[in-house]
Amino acid sequence: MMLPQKKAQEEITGFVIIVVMISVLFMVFLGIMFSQNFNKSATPSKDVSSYLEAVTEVTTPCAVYGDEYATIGKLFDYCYSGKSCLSGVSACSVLNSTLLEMFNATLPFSAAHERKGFTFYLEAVSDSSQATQVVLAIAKGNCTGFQVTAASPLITVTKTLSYKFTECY
Amino acid sequence: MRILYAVRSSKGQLKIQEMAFALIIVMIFVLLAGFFFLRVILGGLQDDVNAQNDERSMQMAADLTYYPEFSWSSNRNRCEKCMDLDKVLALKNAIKDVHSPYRDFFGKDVVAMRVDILYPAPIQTECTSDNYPHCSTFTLINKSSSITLQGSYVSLCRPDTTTGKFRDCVLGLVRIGLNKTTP
Repeated sequence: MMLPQKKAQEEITGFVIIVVMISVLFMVFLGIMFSQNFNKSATPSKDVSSYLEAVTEVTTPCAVYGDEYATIGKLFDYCYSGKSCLSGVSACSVLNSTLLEMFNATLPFSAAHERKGFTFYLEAVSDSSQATQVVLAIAKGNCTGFQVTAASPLITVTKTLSYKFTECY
Repeated sequence: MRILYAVRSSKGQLKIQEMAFALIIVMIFVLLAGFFFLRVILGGLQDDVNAQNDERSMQMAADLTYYPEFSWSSNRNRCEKCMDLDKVLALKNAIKDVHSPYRDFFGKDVVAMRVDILYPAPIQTECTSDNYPHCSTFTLINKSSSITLQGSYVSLCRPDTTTGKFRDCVLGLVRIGLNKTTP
């Protein structure tokens, strides 16, 4: 009389094992899928690229020659060359304060905010060795998580400069 | 003999019941899994459609700087990706004019379009001929208020106020909302 019961128990056990195995495989598949999505760091972004491009054309309060106030893009070059504005303030100082004010006003960040921070680097690229020298660096907030970035070269009279902006989430 | 037949029949019925039960369980499992995958795939398709629509809006917003109606066209201070703020105001007024050929300039696809000045932070108000340039927003088209706008950052320029020879540019954002039913 015990034999059919035992057989049924074995079948149920087998069925449960198969369900558990399929569930484990499914969880592994999901794990791999999500880890691939979240492991990407510093993803290039069209949005950041358009932001960076627009920022370089913004006029600053620094006039180096005559009545013409320099754009951020021109200040990159003036800052690298060590020039000063007609007001006597160094181009690098105006560039640093204008960029910081602009980033803070247009890209708010905080620990509670979706955006945790940002970094900006202006670098001079050596024509011969391709070695880079940091001209200006601005970093604010926490930049350890997911990042979106954009970089652009700027060929000037004096040197090839490169600037890069990264948003951290 | 009858007893033996009855026992065998009962055992067979039990096995059929067992098999039917197992089949029902498997069917339910397959249906649930199928339903889950269909939801994932259909959800992905909807996301793709939305992403493509957003991409189109962003691209169109970025391309607006090349339109003669928006572009900064001064030969003395060339800027390919700058937008002339005076032209934006002129176009806004033209779109509102019932008799203007610019009324349906962007076609039926574009249901919303606005240009915002971001930096230096302006007074938060809609731009009109009366308060320009001391304002922040140009609402060119507003046929749908529920649609999500996607955009691109631009430099918004005007001739400088002291000499008029150079350009004075601020940071702006052009945002467009496209009709989702159109391909």
